[in-house]
Amino acid sequence: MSTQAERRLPLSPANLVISGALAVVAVATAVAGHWQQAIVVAVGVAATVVMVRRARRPGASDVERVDAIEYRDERDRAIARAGLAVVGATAMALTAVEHVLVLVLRPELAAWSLGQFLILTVAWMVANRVAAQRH
Amino acid sequence: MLYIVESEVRRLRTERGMSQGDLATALGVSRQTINAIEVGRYDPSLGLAARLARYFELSIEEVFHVDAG
Repeated sequence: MSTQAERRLPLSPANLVISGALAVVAVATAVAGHWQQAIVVAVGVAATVVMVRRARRPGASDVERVDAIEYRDERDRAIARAGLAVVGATAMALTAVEHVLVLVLRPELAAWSLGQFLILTVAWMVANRVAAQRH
Repeated sequence: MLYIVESEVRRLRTERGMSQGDLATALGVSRQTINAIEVGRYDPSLGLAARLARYFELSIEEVFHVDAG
């Protein structure tokens, strides 16, 4: 459940960090001279803020809140956990497929794709251990 | 083992003339969560179950019926 202090903020702390990071990326991209990409990222920032504002309305749906990372209660968090678990499993499966394709098509990049798979695997194992301690 | 949880939340709420939104506000959860509990789509945590029971001034066993399926 969000605290009263979090409710007074225009965005949740998580969304403040995400939006701030995206804004920095947009500025850095513009400074680097990639204007079209900077505009795309800036539109992403604006879309994030709009989604969050919609999700914080009293009548917002559960899916709107979860999509915007604006959880109101334990059920919202349970939905988010289930959704992110699917994302994680999908990322690991896609990375395994990616590694096979890279081995065949661009073997010089195989260390990167294997590294990505190993990082995901380690993150999963760490997450399992943290979850086991909390539950 | 599969456990089936049935609740008396809808009956208790309607007996008191409350909307799902009223109960949700009183407990600090979303209206969708109250609806999901009422239709049996979501089993609340022990903490939320206790808050619901306390709100209705009943025990958890009087609000939630757990049967091994």
